[in-house]
Amino acid sequence: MTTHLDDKELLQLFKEEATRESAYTRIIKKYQEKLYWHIRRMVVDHDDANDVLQNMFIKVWKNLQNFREDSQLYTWMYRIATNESLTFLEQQKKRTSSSLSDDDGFLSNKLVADKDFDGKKLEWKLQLAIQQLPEKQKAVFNLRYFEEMPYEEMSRVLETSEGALKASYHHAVKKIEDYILNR
Amino acid sequence: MQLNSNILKELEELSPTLADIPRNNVFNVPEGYFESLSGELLLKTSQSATTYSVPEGYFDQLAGQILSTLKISEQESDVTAEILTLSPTVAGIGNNNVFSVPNHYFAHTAHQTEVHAETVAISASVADIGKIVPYTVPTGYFEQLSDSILAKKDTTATIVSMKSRPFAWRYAAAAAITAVMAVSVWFIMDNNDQPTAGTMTAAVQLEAKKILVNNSFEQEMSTISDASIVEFLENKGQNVEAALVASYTDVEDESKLPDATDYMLNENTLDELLQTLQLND
Repeated sequence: MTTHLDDKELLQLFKEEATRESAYTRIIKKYQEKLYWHIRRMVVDHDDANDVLQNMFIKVWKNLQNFREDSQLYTWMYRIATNESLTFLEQQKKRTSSSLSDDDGFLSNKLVADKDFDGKKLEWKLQLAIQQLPEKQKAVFNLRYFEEMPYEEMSRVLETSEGALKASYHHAVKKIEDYILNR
Repeated sequence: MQLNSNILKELEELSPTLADIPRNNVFNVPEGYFESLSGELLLKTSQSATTYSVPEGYFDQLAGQILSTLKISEQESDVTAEILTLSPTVAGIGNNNVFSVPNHYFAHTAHQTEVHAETVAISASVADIGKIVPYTVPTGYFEQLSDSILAKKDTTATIVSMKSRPFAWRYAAAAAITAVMAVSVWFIMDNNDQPTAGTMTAAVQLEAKKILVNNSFEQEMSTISDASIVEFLENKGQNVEAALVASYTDVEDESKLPDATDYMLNENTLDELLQTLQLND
């Protein structure tokens, strides 16, 4: 039976050469789903989410030894996941803008191309509405709406003031409401 | 309830939405309220001042409160007596809760309610949608993920996706097609010679010239299916497989890729690119 260890214990195990890999595996297993869904909601496509998630965990492996415990492991990993997702989207935008098909709504198109897509279902319409938001605002909305992250914690993840985050969430909800009601 | 026609007209001018809302009364009163109201009022007006007072409704509820207190105590003693009869050992253990909840569980639940309330205050319609994420993941994905990451953790390069990149594929295909077209079109534009019979029809050449003059090659490419591109390249003897392999290459620095005009000026550009990427035969 696997005993449940808290993050401090896992970090302690990671520092020991003999238990480093098992600690790392436990960290992945503990956080993989939460981080995957956070990334997936940002980048939409499963393959892209998988790429970003794996890169993100490799960065965790390389930097965890230098991780300063004055911040929470969970917050730190969310910060990496968010930054990796934003960087990925930025690169993709650059690619598409210089591509042959120059398509600004590439994330919406990916969403519509999903085999399970059903435009009549409200939850899909919500995802389409989220894709209309600027990337960082999208992160704010997802972290608050789906993951119910406190502003204080979100402020550490996104390195933005709590006031700005509250305003950003307010604008995001209003934009989504407008999209849902008027399209 | 009907509104006076003047008032309704005024309201329609001010807000048609509001005017359309039925004027049904949404409030209600306790049963018998109006029947007993006059009597209560009379009683209140005739009441003399008293030195002591009791909370409102105290006597109405007193009997009920005493009865329920008695019942609870009876039930508790019944349960204790029952368990003692059944098993004095079990009764001796007590009924302390041994289960625990994750740290901050109740605080978290309160926080969830708070987040929901915040969203409701901004937009009830958005809050009502709920948190269902309609995406799916391949079966067994999470079970295999940690092994897959462990295998890659010591690599220095970032993960390069092996999924098809439509852009890169079309880029490679466009390059090959441009190379094929280039010689003939170059002929038309610069030499004003008649097209060579059998290599390209006049209509196609005219279209190609228009595309080049309007610089709309990229736009035109996006309208052609992948299958047609492959067929065309194969007919022209191009190395389709190499182009396809190139399309899987994650090109980080796109400035290193040849420009579209490079393919126009030099028909070996694609081969050179593939050689650079070490993908050609």
